[in-house]
This record gives sequence, structure tokens and C-alpha cells, in this order.
Amino acid sequence: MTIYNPQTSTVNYKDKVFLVIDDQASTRQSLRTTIQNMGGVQVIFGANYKDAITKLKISRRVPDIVLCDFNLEEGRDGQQLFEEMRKSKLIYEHTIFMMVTSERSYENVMSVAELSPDDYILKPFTPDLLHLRLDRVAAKKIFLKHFYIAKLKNDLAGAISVLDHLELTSEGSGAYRFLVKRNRAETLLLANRTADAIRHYEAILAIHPFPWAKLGLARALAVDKNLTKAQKLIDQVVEENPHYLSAFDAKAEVCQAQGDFDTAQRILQETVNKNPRNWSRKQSLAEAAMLNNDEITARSVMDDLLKNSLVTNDANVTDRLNLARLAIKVKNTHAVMEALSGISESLFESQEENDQISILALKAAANPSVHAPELERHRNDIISLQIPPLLLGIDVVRAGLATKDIELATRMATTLMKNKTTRMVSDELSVIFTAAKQRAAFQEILRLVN
Amino acid sequence: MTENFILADILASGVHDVKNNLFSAESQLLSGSVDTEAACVMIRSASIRLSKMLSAYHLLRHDLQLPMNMINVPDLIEDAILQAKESGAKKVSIAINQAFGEDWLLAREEINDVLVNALQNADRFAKNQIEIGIYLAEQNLVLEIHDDGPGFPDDLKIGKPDLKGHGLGLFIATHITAHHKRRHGEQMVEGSIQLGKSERLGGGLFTLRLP
Repeated sequence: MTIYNPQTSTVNYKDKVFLVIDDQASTRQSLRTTIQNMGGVQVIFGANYKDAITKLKISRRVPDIVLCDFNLEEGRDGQQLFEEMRKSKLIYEHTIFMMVTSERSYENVMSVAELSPDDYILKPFTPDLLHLRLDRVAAKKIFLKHFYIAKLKNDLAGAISVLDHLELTSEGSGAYRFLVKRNRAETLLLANRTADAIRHYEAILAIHPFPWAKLGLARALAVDKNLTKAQKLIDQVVEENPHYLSAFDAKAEVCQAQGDFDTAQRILQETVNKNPRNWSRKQSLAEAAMLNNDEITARSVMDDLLKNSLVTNDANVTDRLNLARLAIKVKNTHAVMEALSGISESLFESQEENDQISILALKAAANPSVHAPELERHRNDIISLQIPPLLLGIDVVRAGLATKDIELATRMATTLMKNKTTRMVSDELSVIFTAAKQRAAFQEILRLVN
Repeated sequence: MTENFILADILASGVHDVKNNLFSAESQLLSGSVDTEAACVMIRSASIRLSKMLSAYHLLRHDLQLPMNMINVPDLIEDAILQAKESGAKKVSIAINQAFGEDWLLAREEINDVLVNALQNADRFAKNQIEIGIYLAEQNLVLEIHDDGPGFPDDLKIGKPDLKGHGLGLFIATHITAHHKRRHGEQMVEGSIQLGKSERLGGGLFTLRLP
């Protein structure tokens, strides 16, 4: 290992676009000076949360490096901004995001966050320390560049083959060994190659018992429906590392997969209480509460989310979807359309396929005469989904029944029942089919599944 | 009562250091030849000191739960070396023996403080060189800092600091390290700090073990 010397930096900052977000003009200026000393010339400034989002939207180019202060005005923080930027795809996975904070407690935020920025730096810091930290992150991003590009194009097979290639390089088998292995296991899981993902995680664990690898293995086992083993593994991680809060998220996921929505909700509620600022965990809590038929909690969590996250016009799609789901449950079709109307065409296009399907399904369920044809166009995509997420499945069942596509509703309900044969799911589906006067169709599903 | 005394000592010794830093910074700025660089170093070191005092306060007052994250160990060492140098370490040569290069679950800022302190201390006593070792032993991460100085005094004990604040840094470091706990089989293992004699360089050996 050689000792760092900023003079030997190999990153060319001249080509990079920086976005600096801080409410203090003096801090923005001093960061600009630091960036200039590193060779950077293209710097955009954001004075607050809203300004940063606006600047991102009007910028011709997605910035390469974001330096963001953690404490932003109006009760919002850099972590929220980071999560919103990533989820609304205003920045890429390969965009460097560095949190700048004067609070040591930021470590607490980081240890419980689902999405972590690439790094954070504690004020006060010297220009050299920032330079070192940026060089380090940039080197990693450059190393994985082609992997990120393939992933961005949703070419998971391509992404995996990039990693295969990288593993043969000296860095890929040296300093970045586990970075490659970890990304590969995660991508395999994403590509539904569950058995391969399990094998990869086991191989990593044979080298060293990393808590993240144990969690990854548990998640893969859960997808593979080996829920008992998954739960045992997570319990072990929780017991061995009581401070590693990501394990609690995984525990809730497995409970949910087992149909134990009550325990899932309780774990998420406890974890949310520990860190009320984590946006995505609150979304999980709202969803767990919804599945648990605890509409009061779901509603109050959603209200809180909407109140605190609707800074931009494109509200977070997950929040809008969940709001629409709550509304359709009580047959308030007007509220469903209102929740979904804020999703512009371009925002819709940038969503993952699953969310796109849910948006179409909920619209069709609320207003079948107008939206049935759109759903019809995606019918084949929907049917080809191997393991549909539970909430999406329920959206499709509702849509199928509303648009009189009973076959679609029945097929989806059967898949759900085969995947998760829990009381909760079958009760929920039973209520939905009965309300649509399709009791007989549901009896038929029950007969088929049992 | 005793804990309160310790806390008061930590705060008093910190306030003392910060006061000195600020005084030096002021005189730098007032002196005819304005050396802003030196003044900046002083002000920065005052700010770092205040930040450390705050975390020591939280640690002792609230028995703080440390935030644990997976942190890359060589990166952690590299950061600590840079920071030790920036806070005015001499130019002794530092070599690193790295047998482990992965992430470890630890409280980054706190362990960083422990390492920066240990490096500054090694630097103060080293004649020409410092050597850092990173390896795993019995499922523990072990970080060693060797120096070629006179070694630690025989009567140096890691315990509670005295009323003048001697041994304060070590006391806090031990406290932070012991907060790193992990179950190995039936046993709950705690992190530890050891001071000894370096076989390699003949001077002091600081050993940090994290489960």
C-alpha cells in the first residue's frame, strides 16, 4: 500500500461537472476554491433542497460529482435529497455523491440508511482530505463504469459479464475483490438467477463471514422460498451485530414474505422510531401496514411521507402508488386518479417495469372505461412476470376484475396464491373477488391451488 | 460521582487545548508576517478538538451506542495517516504491512480518532520510522502501530486518567474500543487496546483489536 499524495492524483477533474449544495454562500465559495485547486472548472450551485432539484432538472448534463451539505433548510436533510435524486433518477448510480456534514451523528444516519451515499466527510476538513476521498470514490466508479452503464440499460446479463471480466483484472482480484463479488451476487439476485446468487453468497461467506453477505444470502434464500433458513440466518446476524440495523429491514422483508405482516409492521415501526428520517423505510412501513389491514397506520405514515417529501412536482412515485392503493381499497376512485395524475408521461417512462404496471393497473381499476386499453397493451408483459411482488399482484387482480378481464385476474391471483400461501393473502383476494361478484372464480382458484 | 469527575477533566483539558490553539491562531494573524496557513492549522485543530470533546461527552454521559458501518480498513488507515500529518506530525517514514484489505464493521469517526492519536503519539517518539500492521487473528481485526522510539514507559497503565488529565486519550480510546462487541460462538468478545514493546522496530507497539 502506498501512502496518499494529492500531487499524484490520477483523476481528471477538469472534465467533471460538480454540483455543490449548501445554504451558506461562504461554504459554497470555499468548496469552489477547493474544486478549482483539484483542477475542476465546471461547478453548479444549489442553495437549498428545492434549488438543487431545479438546477439538476435544467442542467444539460447530469453532474458527475455532488457535494451536499447534510443540514438543509426547512427541516430537510441531505440524506432525503440524496434518496430523492436517486429514486427520481436525477442522478445515476455512477454519479459520485459525497455528503458533507458537521455532525458526527451522520454516521447514525448512514448506518440505518437503505441507500448510502458513496462517502461522507466531516467538517472541518482540509482540501487534501476531500481530494483523497474523492479520488478513492472516483477510482471505484471508474473501475465499475461499464457495469453501471449495462445496469442503467437494464442489461443485467451484460452487467454480470462485465463483472466476470473485471474479476480477472489485478484490481478485481485484489483491492476490489469483494466489491466485484458483492455486486455480482446482488445483480444475479436482481436478474432472478436465485440459485447462482445463493452460490455466490456462500462462496463469499466461505472466505469471510461478512454481515452483508449473510444478509444477501438470507434475501436470496427468501426469494428461493427457503424462508426458515433465511430467517435463521437473519436472526444470527441480528444477534451477532446488534448495531447493524440493515438486518432489521431484511428481517421485516422475510416476515412479510412469510405472510407475517403483523411482525413485519412491528419491526419496521421499531426501526422507524429509531430513525424517523429514513424515507424508504417509512414507505416499507406504510406498505406493511396496508398488507396488515392497518389502514390507520398506513394512512398516517403516508400523510407524513407526503407532507415531507412533496417538494418537487414529481412526487415520489412509490408514495403516489401507495396512496392510490389505499384509496382503491375504500373505492374512492377519484382519489386514486388524483394520486396518479401527478405522474407525468416522462416520469412514467423512467420508472421500473413493475411500477409502470402498477400505475396502469390502478388506473384501469379506478376508471376501466378509459384505461382498459392501456392495460391490455401490457397484458403479455404482466403474464410473463415470474414472481410478481404482492402489491403489484393485487393491483393487477383489481384491474383484471374491473376491466372484465377475469382470466388475467384469475391467473395473477393463482400465481400469488402459489407463491405465498398465507391466510392474509387469500383473505384479501377473497374480499376482492367477492366484491366484484366473482366468488365462483375465486373458489376455482382455491381448488386449483390446494 | 467519579464518572462526573472524569467528564469534567475531559472537558477541562479540552477547553485548555482549544484556548491555546485559538491564542496561537490569534498571534499568528496579529504578527507582522501574516501566516494564514499556520493560523488555519491552529483553528482547524481547535475545531477538531471541540468535536472530539463532544463525542467524549456523549460517550460518557449517555453511554452512547456507537454507529457501526462497514468501513474499508486500508482506507481508514490512509485517512488517519493524512490527518495525523496535517495536524503537524514530523516527517518520519511510514510503512504499511497489509495482510487484510477488506471492510470491517466499526465506528468510523471514533476509531479514526483513536488511530490519529496513536499515530501522533508514535510520531512524537519515533526516531526514523513507523510501521503499521493490518491483519486478522482469531476472527479479530488487528491494527498495530510500531515505532523505533524509546518505547512506552514501564509504569504506564491504561486505566482511569488522573486529575491532571494524563492518560485521558487512552482512557477514551479504551472506552470506544470496548464498545465494539461481537459474538464469537458462545462468547461475547469486546475490542481492546494494548501497549507493548515492538520486536520489529525496538520501540513502542500500540495494538488495537476489534472483534
